[in-house]
Amino acid sequence: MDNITIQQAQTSREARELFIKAHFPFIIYTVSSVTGRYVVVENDESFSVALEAFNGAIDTYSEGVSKFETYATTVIKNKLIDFYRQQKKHYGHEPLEETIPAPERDDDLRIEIADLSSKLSKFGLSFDDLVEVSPTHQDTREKAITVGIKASKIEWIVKRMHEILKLPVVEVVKAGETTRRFVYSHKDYILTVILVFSEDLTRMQQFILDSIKGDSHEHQKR
Amino acid sequence: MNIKNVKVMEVKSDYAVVLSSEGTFIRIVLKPGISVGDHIYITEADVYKAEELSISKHTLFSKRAFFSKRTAFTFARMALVSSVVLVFMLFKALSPVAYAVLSVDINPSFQMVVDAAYNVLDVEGKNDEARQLLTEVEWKKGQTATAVLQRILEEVSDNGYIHDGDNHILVAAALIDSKKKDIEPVNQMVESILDQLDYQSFTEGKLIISAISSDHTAIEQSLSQVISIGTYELEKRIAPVEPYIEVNHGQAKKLMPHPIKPNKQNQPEEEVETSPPTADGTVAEETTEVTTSKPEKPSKAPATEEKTNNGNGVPHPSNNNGNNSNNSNNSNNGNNGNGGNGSNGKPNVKPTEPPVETDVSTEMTDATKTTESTVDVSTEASTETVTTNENKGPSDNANENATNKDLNKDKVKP
Repeated sequence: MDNITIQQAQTSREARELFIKAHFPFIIYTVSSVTGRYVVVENDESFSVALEAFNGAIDTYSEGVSKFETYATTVIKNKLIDFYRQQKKHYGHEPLEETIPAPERDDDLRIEIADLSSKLSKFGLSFDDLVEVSPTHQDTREKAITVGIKASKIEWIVKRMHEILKLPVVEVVKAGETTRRFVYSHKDYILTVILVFSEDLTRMQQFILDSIKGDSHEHQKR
Repeated sequence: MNIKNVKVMEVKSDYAVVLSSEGTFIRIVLKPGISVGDHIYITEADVYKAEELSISKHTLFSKRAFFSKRTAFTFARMALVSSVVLVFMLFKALSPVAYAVLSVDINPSFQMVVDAAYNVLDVEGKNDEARQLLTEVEWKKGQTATAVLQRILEEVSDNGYIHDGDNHILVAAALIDSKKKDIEPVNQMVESILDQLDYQSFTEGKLIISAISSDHTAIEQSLSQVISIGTYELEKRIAPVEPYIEVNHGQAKKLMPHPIKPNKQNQPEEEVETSPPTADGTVAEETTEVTTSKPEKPSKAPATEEKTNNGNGVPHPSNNNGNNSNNSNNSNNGNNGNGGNGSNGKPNVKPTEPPVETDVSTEMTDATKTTESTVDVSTEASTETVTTNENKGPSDNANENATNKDLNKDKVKP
């Protein structure tokens, strides 16, 4: 984001696009702090309003007054407040929180999540537990996901996993062509991946697949 | 500032768990409108952190303070001094002190120093393999001995020292304090460390773990000889070390109630076994049994026995068939002739004599089942000799018959 200056963004269209893209986190953070809600990835009206405001801020900003970020924050904040006022008028005298249209819920995904949650509980796991065991390193995570997906394709491993209610480490080591130590240290995470990919949880599968790239991604297509 | 796009998995009372597009599960702070299945953006600021204990800002010098400033200062000074002293004393009391030494010999030989809470203070390799492996093992001072041992064994396993077959591991431990001779705390330590190990993570094969509890002398000796205390104990020991835990496919099974106490067990054996040519513990035990039983024999029996032996021992035409056992009997009987001394009260150090002496007598009873005198002699014979007799091939029967004839002649004489 530091590569493109505000001056470049003001003059060149391409530079402006890149500048806006680079400031996405900033815009999201501002929207979230003003509305007090999380910004929804798709179709969030507040975010659209903020994006427009940010774009306008690039045009109207003049150097020397303040930092661009400070200026942009003010602009976005004002625009959002205007937007809510309009919404308020439109919906009558309802409290502010109610005026923000609730984002569309993804019911399929919710059903899948509930399904996965109940399956995990059979193995004595919860999403909360998975916070502690998620591999922090990107490579490790990708490897664990790949191992889990490979193992999920082998029916008897999945069957055995449901029988013993834990990860059959030895079998997964062979299926994933990896070391015992690796599987053992990420057993809960791999177990979750196997659960997702052995069941009909397509939305979850897609989301996890999106997280791995390159070779491992190609491997899935095979 | 980084943003992540995440999906909400679970909403709890004070935080929500989300799955990020990178595949990690994260806790985030709650915000209004959040519900399971939402696909949202989060920033680093949204990551949930457990609330820290906030210290009250209310101080002694606030308007509500009960004391005047001066008294408060005095109190504060006193409190400061006493707390410094207290902290110093606590620090001294709680600072870890080396308590015991634990060694693990696979082929790589490791030795670790632990404190009284079984937390590791130091780990060293006692041979080159171990030193090489230790460079790969991440451990921190203060970690539990089980955790460090687990990491070491995993590293050992990954480097191929633990294979799919039978793997023998020797664990030995000793207290550093030379005044503490009691072996019980050492046993407790070894048991607690070994019981907590997660064997599944480093082997698919069989692990046979032997454990020895030792004392301060082992540590001194192992230091002077630059070997682990396990190796030292093993070299000192004559009898083989019995397995303590056996692990099959990650399932540990205890074979013995406690680790072995080598010092106390070994001493009597070492005294007896002054010069046996075969340094096998089992043979040595058998010899002591036989020699002690010797004086109990009826006085008349040895006399007849000697005679029969001598009669048998003299080159007999039927004995020259190349039968090895009988030949060896001959030579031994020669010794035995002198050693009617065996009953002189001195402990018999030669292990082979007594079994051979009885050997012949049992042969007699097995083959002929005749006179009472021979039966009397054989009652004291060890079972070992009977088995050797049974092992003889059928071709020996001719010899036995011949000897029996001789014996019958002898019996007639008196």
